Amino acid sequence: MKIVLEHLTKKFGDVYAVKDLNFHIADGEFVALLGPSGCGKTTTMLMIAGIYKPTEGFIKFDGKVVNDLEPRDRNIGMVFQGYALYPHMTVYENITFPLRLKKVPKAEMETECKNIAQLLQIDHLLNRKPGELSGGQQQRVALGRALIKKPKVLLFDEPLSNLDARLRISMRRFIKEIQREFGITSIYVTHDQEEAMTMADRIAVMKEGVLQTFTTPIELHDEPENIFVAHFIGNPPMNIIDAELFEDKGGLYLCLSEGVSVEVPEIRKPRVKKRDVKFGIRPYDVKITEDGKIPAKVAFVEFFGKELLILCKVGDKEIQVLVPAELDIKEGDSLFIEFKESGFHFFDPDTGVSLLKG
Amino acid sequence: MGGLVNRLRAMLKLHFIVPFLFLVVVFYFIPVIITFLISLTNMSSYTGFSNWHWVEFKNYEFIFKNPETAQHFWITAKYVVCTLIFFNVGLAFILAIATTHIPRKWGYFFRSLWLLPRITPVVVYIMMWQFLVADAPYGVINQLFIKPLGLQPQNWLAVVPFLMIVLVNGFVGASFGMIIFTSAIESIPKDIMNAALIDGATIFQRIRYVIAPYLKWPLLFVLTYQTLSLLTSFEQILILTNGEFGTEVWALWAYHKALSNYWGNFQWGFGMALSAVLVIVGVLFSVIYMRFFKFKELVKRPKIETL
Repeated sequence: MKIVLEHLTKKFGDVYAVKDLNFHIADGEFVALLGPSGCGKTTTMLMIAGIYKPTEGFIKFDGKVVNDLEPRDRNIGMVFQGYALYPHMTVYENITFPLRLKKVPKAEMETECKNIAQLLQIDHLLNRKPGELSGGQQQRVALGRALIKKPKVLLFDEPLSNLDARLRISMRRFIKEIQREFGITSIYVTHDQEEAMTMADRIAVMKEGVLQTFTTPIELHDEPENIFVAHFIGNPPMNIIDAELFEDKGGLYLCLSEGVSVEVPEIRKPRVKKRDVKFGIRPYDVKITEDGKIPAKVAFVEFFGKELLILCKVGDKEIQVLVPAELDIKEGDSLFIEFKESGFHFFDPDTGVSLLKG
Repeated sequence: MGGLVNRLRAMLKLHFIVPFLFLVVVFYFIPVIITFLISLTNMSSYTGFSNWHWVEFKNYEFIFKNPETAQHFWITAKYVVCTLIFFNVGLAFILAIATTHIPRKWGYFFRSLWLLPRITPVVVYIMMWQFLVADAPYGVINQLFIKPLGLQPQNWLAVVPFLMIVLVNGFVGASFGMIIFTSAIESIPKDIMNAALIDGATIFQRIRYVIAPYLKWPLLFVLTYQTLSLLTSFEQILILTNGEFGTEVWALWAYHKALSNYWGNFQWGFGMALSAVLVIVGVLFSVIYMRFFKFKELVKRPKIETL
């Protein structure tokens, strides 16, 4: 099912939870709503589910406005963070609850449940109550309950947050496989960029109720729309440094600090000419070299197992650099750094918008 | 030495329940025992505190043989069952559901409104009812509703005495269950309430399949507590009808016999026997409720295993 959000706005009292949201989701697409807590992503999802009514704007399913449709008439399935299973019902009763409400004949209900339970590998648990299941098992039951009515849209509200790290990775793949197999249009709310990056076809990043960008994971990482997105996506986060651009001998140079400058590669020159900019460089786009143009002093070293995160001082600026752990670098060392050509990012210091686009 | 210290330390935990244990023993167990002991005597204002005798189970025999007993028993049973079902549980449930399905502020407002009968002093509360149902041609109901409709004003207390005592107690009693049920409903996780709607439930289906099962525990509590309190409550009836028109419930009967005898002879022994019967009936009901609601299963430990 195609989903379109048009000028979607939700106010609680005087506070905007979601402000003028516009985007299209294609049929069968897996879209992640990503953002820090309180950014309006869950509110957006609950509006699509029909739990909240929009203050302004429209939600369209396949071109039809569904603003006033009750949740039960929207043909959606939803998986919640806390699983939201009915504690007094068995696994079988939980999964078949949507069918029971539709008065589906018992025999049909049993076959449907058997199929789903086998797919989710929970067919041996049908007589248990949710309280007798582990977190991962409960999440599968919740998924079964969402899938059994063959919804046109699947909504996920941080479904993996309550699971431990290892289980999260296997469930991530599992959910993605199921979604592909059924080809259901899916919206996945999360604050975990790793989840969004690995699972989604496209990611909508939100901040304070406003859509920041809506694009593919690769584009999101490589060509961030603005400082917020640049800083939010990628781990460890991008270095954002106040810097100056100046032209010399036909080339464009970036002055990081008093007397420290480096030429900007042709492909990364800003479209808009500006003197003061915010320069962005990811810690893993910085290399350590024997000699070079940018002298740096190591101020702090953090050991990460296979990598070291080092904090370098370049003049009065600080830059974080991620290097292989084999390198023998200690606090107080003097060295040179160099930026990967594709790693240069420039942002407008006032609006935060990328200067590479436009 | 170390063993002794450890044992003392273990015992220290028990001391935390001592203050409460003291209250329960002094104000509950001891009075029950005294009640039971006095019920085995012929103590009355005629015998005084010095000339009484042990009469074994004579008082209980008298209860069984007394022609009035059946009448008091049935009015009590009817009164407890009707008030409990229609008001203390039924109306309480409806109020809790209704006030949690409207905007929060209005929910608070209406719940506070329903608490008024409970926080009003009993005498004032009953006086208001007496204004409402005063004998013809007076009374708010007669004046404002019956007369304008061209109907015959009635002496309502005499015409529908049973309805009156159920209403009077029910309007007070409903707020207790309402509060308990409301807090239970509000403690249901928001996600589960939303999940039900998304799974395709209407508001009524959600009440039936999701909310009601959550109320099993509070229902057990309200039923038990309110059965006991209705069995022993008589002050509203005392002030409203003083047991006239066939409204002399068991507890009021005990009160009249033991403490407010028309003939001036306070039959403490007999009154205590009547009270002891109430205690026994109350305990019996508690046990039956716990069995019926499978109390042990409600407090059963979960069997969580990891994946």
